[in-house]
Amino acid sequence: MEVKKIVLAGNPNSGKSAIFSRLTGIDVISSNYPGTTIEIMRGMLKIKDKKYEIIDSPGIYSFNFTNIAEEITAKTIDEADILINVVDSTNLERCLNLTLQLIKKQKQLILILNFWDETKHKGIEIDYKKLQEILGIPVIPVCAITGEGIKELVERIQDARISKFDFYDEKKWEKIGEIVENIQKVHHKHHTLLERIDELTINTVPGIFIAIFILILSFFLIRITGESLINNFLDPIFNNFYMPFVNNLNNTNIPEFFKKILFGTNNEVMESFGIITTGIYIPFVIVLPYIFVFYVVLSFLEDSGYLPRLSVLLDGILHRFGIHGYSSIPILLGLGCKVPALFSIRILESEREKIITTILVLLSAPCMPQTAMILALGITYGIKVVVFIFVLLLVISITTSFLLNKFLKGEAQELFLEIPPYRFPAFNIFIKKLWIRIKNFLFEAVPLIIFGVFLINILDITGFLNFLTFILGKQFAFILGMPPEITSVMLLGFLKKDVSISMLAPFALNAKQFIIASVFLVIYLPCTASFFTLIKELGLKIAFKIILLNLIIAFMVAVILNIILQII
Amino acid sequence: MKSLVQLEKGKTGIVIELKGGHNFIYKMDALGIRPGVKIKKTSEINVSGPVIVEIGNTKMAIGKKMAQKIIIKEL
Repeated sequence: MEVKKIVLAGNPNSGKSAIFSRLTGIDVISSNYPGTTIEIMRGMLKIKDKKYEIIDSPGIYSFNFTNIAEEITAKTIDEADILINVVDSTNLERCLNLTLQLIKKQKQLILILNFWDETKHKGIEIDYKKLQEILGIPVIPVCAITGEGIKELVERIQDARISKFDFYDEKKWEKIGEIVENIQKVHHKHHTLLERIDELTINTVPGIFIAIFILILSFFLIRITGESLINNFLDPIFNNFYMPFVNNLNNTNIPEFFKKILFGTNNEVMESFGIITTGIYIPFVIVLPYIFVFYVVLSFLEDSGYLPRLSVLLDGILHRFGIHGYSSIPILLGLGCKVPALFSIRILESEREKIITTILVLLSAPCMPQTAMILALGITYGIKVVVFIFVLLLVISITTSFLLNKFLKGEAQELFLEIPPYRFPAFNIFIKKLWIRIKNFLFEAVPLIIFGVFLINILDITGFLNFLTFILGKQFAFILGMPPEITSVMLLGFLKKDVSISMLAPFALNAKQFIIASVFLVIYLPCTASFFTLIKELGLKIAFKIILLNLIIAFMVAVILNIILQII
Repeated sequence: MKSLVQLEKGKTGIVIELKGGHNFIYKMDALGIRPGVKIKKTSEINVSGPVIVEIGNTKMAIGKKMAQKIIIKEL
């Protein structure tokens, strides 16, 4: 039986991904800013005995695409058997522009009016039945967040029709004007609370102060909540319930070699590198709480609609580094994990901009697992050391992008961004998104972290680490001012970047050495997952250039720091 | 006649001309910015940041250099 392809097409931020989730039951991330979806998602929908393939696509305003994500959409639309045009009811006129272009494709079409519930608050009245008559296709009001109207959509997919609506391209706006005049009434409404907040956050003053306040608040929320989750909850559970079990196992008759792999070589949980000691402690006790709190905060900023406003506020400043405000979104995502951050760079238009943003994503701050490790180990030297590391990274990344902007040809693109209204985050979408991100961490990152711990332990047991230290240790140690034994950590750290910082634990470094080692480990090479993402997104040549640049910067910074900190 | 950058905050104008190439005009058109359309400037970000405008129900941020190419007549 032939499976028909249904493509969801619409303007950015019109809610396609939320509709996709509703139709297929597949969880995808939806947020309140344009450009959340950057890849095609596919899922199945069965209606009675008929099977359909549902395809979610990145949003477009027209068929004159300016970035790769939009190009993908244009291709996907051409492959469709049926198109579902997702329209933001609160922005009817603008959305109908794409609708008319979809009509030109002469494919079976259904139009859905999403955000139907919001029209009421905004005093917008739409006669959707009239629109149905005018266009000659099914028009269905829906609210993707609550699921209202989805059942009717499913029932009426078979009614999709090729629209006979005819118009000349040059007259399209006139036609759209006529339609809107005909079907939409707008009543005047007083400013809502959300609109007042909007005005405050999108003016230079007080917007910039609010932005600084929100960012600092977010940082403290993440740190304090993360830390208290560890100290009051996860660490006690680990020590009181999990470790007794491990110790019992340790007392049984297992061959010595396996004991070394399972429990590691000493009794300190951060230093032993056993699979079931350190391998469990790092991902579940140290990293997970920070991942959790970070994504709670990020999801809130995304779903409320604050992120695009932050982009707008930062646009002028970011222009000095050769990029526009939208780049602040990948940079913020990168605080969690570099992989989704590097993917989101796709939405940028020029190669130059992509390169500079990539550098900022990779250098400006560590990913959340590394941050957690720096906090966990660095706090023993005092909060000043930790703050110094983060400020230093920020200075390095700003200097680098500033220089790149000077030397790379071309100039910064201009920001051209739709600002969605503030919305109260929808609880179901919020939870779903949080779960997707935690699930990604649990099923993709955690096995790799445990494997990393295992690998390091094996290399240690077999004497390979000692061998490396023997041949390269002295030179390396001299340049960086480290004990020679640390060479192995530096050389192998990229294999499992998130655990690399924890590998510093057994060395009893002083504060100065810890600063140099952490900064070096954060910037010298990307982790394997981001390495492959880089190649995929930017091509082998550019990826290698970026990585080489990082490596050079890491060495330069380490050497300079070594000299400067020695003097102080 | 002045550019969108020169328009005062809170004032509304009608787009008279888009001073740019084919791509620029197409890009503007996709979001409904074209001669004859009413555009309200709600705010601007200092330090050469973008101009924030409202066109119908859509709120947009337009980079400063781009906004200079949008010529309007104040209402």
